[in-house]
Amino acid sequence: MVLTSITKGGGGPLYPDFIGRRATFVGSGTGPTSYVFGTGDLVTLNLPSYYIDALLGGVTSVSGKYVVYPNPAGIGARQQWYLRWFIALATAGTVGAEVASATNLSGESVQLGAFVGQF
Amino acid sequence: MILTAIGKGTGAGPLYPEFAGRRGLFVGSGTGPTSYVSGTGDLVTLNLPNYYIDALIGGEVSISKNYVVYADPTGTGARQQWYLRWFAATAAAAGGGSVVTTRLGTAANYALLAYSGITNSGSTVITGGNIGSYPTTSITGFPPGTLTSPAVIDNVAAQAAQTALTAAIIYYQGLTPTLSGLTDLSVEGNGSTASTYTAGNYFGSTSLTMPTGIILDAQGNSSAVFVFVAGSTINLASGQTIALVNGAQAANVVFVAGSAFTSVATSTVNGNILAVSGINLGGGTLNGRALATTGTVAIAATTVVTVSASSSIGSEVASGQNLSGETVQLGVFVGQF
Repeated sequence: MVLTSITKGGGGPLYPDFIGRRATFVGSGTGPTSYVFGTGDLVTLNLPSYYIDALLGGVTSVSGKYVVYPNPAGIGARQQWYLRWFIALATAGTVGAEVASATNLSGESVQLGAFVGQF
Repeated sequence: MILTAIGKGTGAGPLYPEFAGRRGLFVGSGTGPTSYVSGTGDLVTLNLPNYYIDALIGGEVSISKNYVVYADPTGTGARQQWYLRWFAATAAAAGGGSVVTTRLGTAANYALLAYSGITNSGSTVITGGNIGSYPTTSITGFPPGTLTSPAVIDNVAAQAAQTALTAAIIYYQGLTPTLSGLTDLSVEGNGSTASTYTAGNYFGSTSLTMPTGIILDAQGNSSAVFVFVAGSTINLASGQTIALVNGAQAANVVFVAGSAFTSVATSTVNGNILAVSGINLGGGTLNGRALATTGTVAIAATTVVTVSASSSIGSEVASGQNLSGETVQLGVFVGQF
């Protein structure tokens, strides 16, 4: 998933917005075309010179069918962050279960906050 | 958990906190507790003594992918205490719901484990765990006894399982007693009746007997653990039952006999039997395990079901579970005292 900074109407992107040397970021993106169970979907920003310090998950997709949780690959700065997708509505499957491999989630959108740094 | 500010490579200083006006951002990492408290969680502090947490941002998967953590404040407003609640995210983590199962190590893979062999008579059925013996590997009576797949006879792994079992027995024998000096468990309970026990560690310096059944009352806490330790034998009389009420689970019950454990047909045992010198199950039902570090396991027409704690994905981690091998990295909004 590529997180793209949200905007204010026809204006430019609202994020990143700096707080000292770090920045907050809010972006949106869509799920993968083929999800990987147990691994999740790698999250990147639409700003190539920024990296994620913390991704703020525990939110549902816009449709309400899924809840997403961030999963860092390790601790420290410049980690890779994956988004794990779990079922939140019974119409999508067993509530609480992770989405099965190869599921197409490209129709699902999420909006997430992050703390970011700059390379 | 102490959240330690992340840094930018070895030798570099911490990247956080970073302030916006009078409030700050913080990103830190930390490890889980050595003994989790279900229903309460793990208190989160920062490695900066003069800062406090305004908001801890949970809803994140641990780096191992086994757990999801959620932030749980004690109240609203500034300077609250924030706890991190841990929930199973994988089947493997959910299966670790019983601290007894974890304590048993590889011995938990066995329904019956012996030192001098296993003898069965009659229509015994083993489900959910293997059977094995080491160093005497003789196992007789299967058939007519049966093992429900995937349970198998496994003497190869029995040696390592014996080592794990010995360590578990030493651990349980070293616990601090809730009650000690017990002899007749049928009348010495600390619960709502003389035969009822709440979660705790119950010790007898010599033998423990159960001429009539006992009741284990979890008082609504499905993580409640019941440990009974005898200096010598433990005996359950004919037709009696070790009963579970109010959420108690057989997976969280342990009987440790300093010598032998005996149950007489048609008794019902809910719990894990750990015995130093042999086990004799005379018939009925064992929902648990029969594991002996020396001597034989003798069984007669008994249904043995090796049970796991009824924990599932999404359930909170059980009390006592060691999460110190788990790591998370979390974002925080902080203030300064």
